[in-house]
Amino acid sequence: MTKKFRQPQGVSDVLTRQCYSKNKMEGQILDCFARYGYNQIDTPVLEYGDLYSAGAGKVNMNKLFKLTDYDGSLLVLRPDMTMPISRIVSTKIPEGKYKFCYRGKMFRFSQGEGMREFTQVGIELMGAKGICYDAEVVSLAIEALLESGLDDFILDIGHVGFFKGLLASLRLSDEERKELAVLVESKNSIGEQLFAKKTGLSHEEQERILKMPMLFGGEEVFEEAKKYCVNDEMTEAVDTLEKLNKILKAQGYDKYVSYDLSLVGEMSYYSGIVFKGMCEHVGSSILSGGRYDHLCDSFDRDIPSVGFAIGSDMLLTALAAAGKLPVRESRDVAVGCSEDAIAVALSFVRELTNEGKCVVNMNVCSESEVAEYAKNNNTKQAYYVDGDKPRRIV
Amino acid sequence: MDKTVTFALAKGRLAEKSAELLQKCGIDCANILEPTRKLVLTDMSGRYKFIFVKPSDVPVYVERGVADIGVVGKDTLMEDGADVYEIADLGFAKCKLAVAGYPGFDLGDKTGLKVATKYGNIARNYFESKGQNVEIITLHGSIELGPIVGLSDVILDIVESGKTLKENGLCVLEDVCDVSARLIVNKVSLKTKAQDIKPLVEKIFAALEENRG
Repeated sequence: MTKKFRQPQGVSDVLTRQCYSKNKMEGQILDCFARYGYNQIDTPVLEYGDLYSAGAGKVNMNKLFKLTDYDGSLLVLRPDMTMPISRIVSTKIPEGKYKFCYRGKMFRFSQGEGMREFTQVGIELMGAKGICYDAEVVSLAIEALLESGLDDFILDIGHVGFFKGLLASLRLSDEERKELAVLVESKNSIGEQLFAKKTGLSHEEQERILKMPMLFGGEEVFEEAKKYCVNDEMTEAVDTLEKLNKILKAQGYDKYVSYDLSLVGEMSYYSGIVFKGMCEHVGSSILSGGRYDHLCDSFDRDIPSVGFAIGSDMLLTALAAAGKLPVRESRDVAVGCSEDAIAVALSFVRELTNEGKCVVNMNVCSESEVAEYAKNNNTKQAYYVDGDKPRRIV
Repeated sequence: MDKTVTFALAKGRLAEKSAELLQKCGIDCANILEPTRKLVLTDMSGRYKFIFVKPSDVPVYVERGVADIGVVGKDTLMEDGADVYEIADLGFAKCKLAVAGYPGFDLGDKTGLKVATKYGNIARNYFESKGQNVEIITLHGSIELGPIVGLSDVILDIVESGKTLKENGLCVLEDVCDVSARLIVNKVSLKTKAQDIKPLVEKIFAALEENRG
C-alpha cells in the first residue's frame, strides 16, 4: 500500500498555531542566552559516523539514523549538538574560553513511542573548569526555563564522581560495573540486593550500594551522603555539590533545585555535575546537561566544558499544561478588494506593513467576507477597496 | 504535603495487598477495596488518588506520569519494559515464570522449539540467552492448551501452585525466574513530589522490613 499519505514513526508536522508558540518560546530562550553572552552557532545535520563511534562521546550506533556516503563512509544524522560543537572547537578554534548557544533538530533512532526527530535549544561553555562555571551554567538553565514562562520546575542535580568513586571502591569486573550503573540509575533496589549477594561484597560495601537509591532530596542529603564517602572522588563530588548549592541558594534559586547522588548520567561523557530539569506535568525531563571535561580528548585537545540542552517539545508540553504557552495575537488589519482595485489594495497593504502593522490581505472578495473575518478573528480594523481609496468598514 | 499523589493499581488481589501495605504506612484507603465500578477513587484524606487499570497497563500509566506510583508484577515489567524507578520488592503475589510441557520432554533435544506464551519478549530473551532458536507463538489466555492440542511443544507462563498444569497433564520443565509485586515510581514525580513520595517510600521500606521481621 502506498505510504504517501502517512508519516514515518516519531516525526511530526508543526502546524501554524504550534509553530508560532514553538518559535516564540525558542526565540525567548535564545535571546536570554544571547544576553548572557552566548553566541549562536549552527552545525550540519549530517556527520561522519566516526564522530560518535569511539572515545568519550561514543554512542550506541543502534540509536543513530545511518546513511552511506558515495565512498562507503558511514554518515549519521546528529543525535546531539555537543559532539559537533566539540569537533568545531577542537579543530577550528584556538585555545580559549567560548560560549555557544544553538537551536537545532536532533535525530535518534528509536523503536518505541518517543520522537525520532526533535528540537533542542542549548548552550555549551567550553574551555572552562571550576565550580564558578558550573554555577554559571546551572543558574542560566534556571534563568532560561523562567524566561520561557515556566515557574513550577525542579532542576535535579547530581555528580557522577560520587558513583564513579563508589565503583572504584569495589572490586568488580567491567561487566559488573556496567550492570551496577544501570541498577543505580533506575534506583532498582531489588536488583542491587541481588547484585550485592551475587558479587560477594562485604556487608559494609553492600550497605553503600543499597543506600544509593534514596540519596536524593534537598541539601540535607549532603550530610547523609558524606557517611558513605570512602575515597577522595566521592568526597569531592559531595563537596562540589555543597558549594554549588551555596551559590544557588544565595541567588534565591534553592526552591528550583534538588539533589540526587545516584544520577549516573545518561551520556557516558559526563565527568562532573549532571542535572535534569523536570516539571510535574511532563513525565520525562525537559532539560538535561552536565560537565564533560574529556570529550575533546579524542581530538587530542584538553577542553573542559559544561553545557545543557532544553528539549523544546517537552518544554512546550510543560508550558501548555501550565497554561503559559505563548499564543499568536490577532492581526491588526484585514483588507479586501474588488476585481478592479487590486493595485490600490496592494499599495495600501504595503503602506500598512511599512507602518509595522500586521495585515491579512484577503485579496479579491466581498465586503461582507472581510467584515465577517474581522469579527471572527478579533481584527481591530478592516478595510475594503473598491475605488481609489480604501474604505474602513470595521 | 500539598500535592496529590496518584497510584495506578490493578483491581483484585494486588490492590488488596497494596491497600494492606498502605494502611500500615498510615494511608486510610480501606474504601478502595469496597466493591464499586468506579475507576478513580480517593483516600479518606484526599491526598492520595487511586486509579484502577488493567495489570499490564500499570507501567504505561506510571511511565507517562499520569500516575506517580504503581504496583505491578515483575513479569509485566520484564515483558514490556518501562522507563520507571523500580524501587521495591513488595514481597507479595509471589510466583514464578517457568517453561512447562509434558513430563519427560527434552528441551535441549529439539531445534526450532515451539513455545506458546503471553510473554513473547521474556521467552525470546530467555531462550536466546541459552543459545536456543525457538519459534514463539503468542497467545492471550489458556496457554496450557498449546502442547495439548499440538500448537506448541512447550509453554512459558506464570506458575503459582502448578495445579492447572497438573490437571492438564503438564509439569514444570525449567524455572525461568521468580516473580513478585514491585513498587514502581515515575522518574519525574519522585523529584517534583519528593516531599510527598520520599517519606512514603521510606515508610514502605520500613513496613516491608517489619514484615520480613
